[in-house]
Amino acid sequence: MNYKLKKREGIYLMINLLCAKLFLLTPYLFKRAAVTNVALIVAAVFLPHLIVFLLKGREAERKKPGKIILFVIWAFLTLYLSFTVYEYAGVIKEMFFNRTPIWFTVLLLAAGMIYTSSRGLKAIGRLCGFFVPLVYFVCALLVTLAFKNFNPRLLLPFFGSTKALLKHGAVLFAVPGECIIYYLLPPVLENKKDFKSIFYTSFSISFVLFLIVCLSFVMAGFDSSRIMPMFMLIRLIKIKSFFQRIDLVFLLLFSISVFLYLSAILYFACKCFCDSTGAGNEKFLTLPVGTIAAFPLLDRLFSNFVPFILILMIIFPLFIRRHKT
Amino acid sequence: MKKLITLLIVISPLFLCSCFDSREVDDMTYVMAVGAEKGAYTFQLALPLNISGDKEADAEQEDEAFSLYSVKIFEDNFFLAADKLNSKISKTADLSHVCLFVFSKELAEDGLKGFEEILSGIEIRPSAYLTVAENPEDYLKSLSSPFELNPAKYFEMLYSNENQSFYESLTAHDFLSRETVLIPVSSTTGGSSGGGIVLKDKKPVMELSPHEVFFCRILKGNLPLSHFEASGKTFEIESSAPSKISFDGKKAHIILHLSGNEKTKYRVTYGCKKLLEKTAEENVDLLDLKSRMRKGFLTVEAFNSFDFDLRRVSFSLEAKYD
Repeated sequence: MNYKLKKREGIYLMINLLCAKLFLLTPYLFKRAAVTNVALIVAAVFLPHLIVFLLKGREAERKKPGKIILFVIWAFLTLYLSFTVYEYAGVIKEMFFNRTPIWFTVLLLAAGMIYTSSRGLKAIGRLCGFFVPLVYFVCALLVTLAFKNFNPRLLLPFFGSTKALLKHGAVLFAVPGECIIYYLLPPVLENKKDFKSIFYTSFSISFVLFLIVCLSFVMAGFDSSRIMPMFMLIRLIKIKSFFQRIDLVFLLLFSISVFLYLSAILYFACKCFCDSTGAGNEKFLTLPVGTIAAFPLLDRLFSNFVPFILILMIIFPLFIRRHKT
Repeated sequence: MKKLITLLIVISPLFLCSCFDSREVDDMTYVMAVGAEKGAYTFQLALPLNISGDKEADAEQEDEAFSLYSVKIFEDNFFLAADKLNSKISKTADLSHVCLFVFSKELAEDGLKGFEEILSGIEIRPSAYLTVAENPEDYLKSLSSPFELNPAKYFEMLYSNENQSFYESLTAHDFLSRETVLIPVSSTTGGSSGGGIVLKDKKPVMELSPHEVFFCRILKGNLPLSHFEASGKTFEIESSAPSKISFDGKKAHIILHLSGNEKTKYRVTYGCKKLLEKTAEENVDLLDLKSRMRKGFLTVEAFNSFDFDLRRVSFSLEAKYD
């Protein structure tokens, strides 16, 4: 019997899908485009998804997306998976595993996500229900502890840099691209009526978390794309001489969050493929789709097209059409 | 059986990375301080046996009882010097515990822009202290204390702001995130002597005496409980809250928050004003006054094009005692 997500699990799953990027280089990308007041850009990036949901949310509760749309979503999610695997593997390699070849780190990440997603929605939902509140509570706590090193004046001038925004801003609209998964969520929910409250709760919490971490990164005055921004923030924490160098402990938590993100994306990618082509059980697809995602050429081939594909993901929910189940 | 296999699969990745990046603690040695001068780097390494306290039996050999050992490498590039260090010692040097970075005065006078990349890397922690000494090698060798076995704690106690009045500590994070910084100057006789060099865009613009650093710390509101001489008497003084700064046209009004005897008021405000006037003459924004004007601009471009000239600003100071 297919497992259905409880409301709580759905909320945590979506929070993790939207916020796991905080443990990649995303806060740096926001800072690069905003220079100062990153809050405006975070709001501008999240707002289209909210508007699309207000337009199509009620419909998505009753109908499933069409087969072509599902196929395109599959392609997008697989591509997205590939990028995230490589980004995280690259960051980890740069920071800790200098001598480890990147294929090895990618292999480890891919093996983990393939295994977890092959266990199905039950495993992902329950792991999210357990780890996500812990990870993001710790994340908020750590940012609070690093607060004394922040300079709030760095958030001004209010409108940031127009030049930087024009140069680096467009790609940011795709950052909450995982919002597309909201429209795949109703069929896997225990109670479809929870859909709206799952959206509003997880979307607002994710927005606030995004805002806190990105603002902190700007206020800390960092300007490096080499180290994970969240890791840089934690390195600032110093409580007297006895409580410092605690960063590595929390790296494990962040890795769990990224693992869960990858597993969930892989699961939904496989589900989209099954629904669009009518191919049996999504669990059997995790290995081939996961392997495609970890395939290195994908990253090299499509790097220039990704921003455009990602922006399209805001538009896809508008094409949700009636589908007899 | 199935559960056991699953458990093994889940746990095994935790150990797999050691295939490539395995590092035995035995094979490592930790660099605690780095001295940078033109064409050479001095690395001060921790001696694990001395840290563990096993040397107590040899208390007669006081010189050897300290837990640090220095190695000088002649190389222009820091990362190449760190690589060469490994060929000089029998262990692999690890930079993640560097607590202190000492620049030679010659290097500081040429500007420290080139060190941004080193200090912003993963190897050096943002809490590492920076200082300037005439000769970094001699300075590092002069560092010794019979009070501390743990070198990390020794550096923390010696360079933190909490214990000193005439010296303002500077961390790697402050150095990287601020436009104008005051890098402290240390004497070769050991410890921290006070005074500092003001760097603007990582280039030196002026030097401050230990007494000027004292007033600078009052202005910034981070002076620990210290002693101050006024009217032939010695008084206690402390400043633990940042000064309140407001602008009235081209006049900056500064309110100092102090605790201690009010008899110090005249000398403190006089000393602070003198320092402000001295820095303003050179257009050095020690109190980061320009960034207080950020709210008056809408975009970064407009703010950057604003020509903030401190020479046109006049100062009025007021001291408030708790």
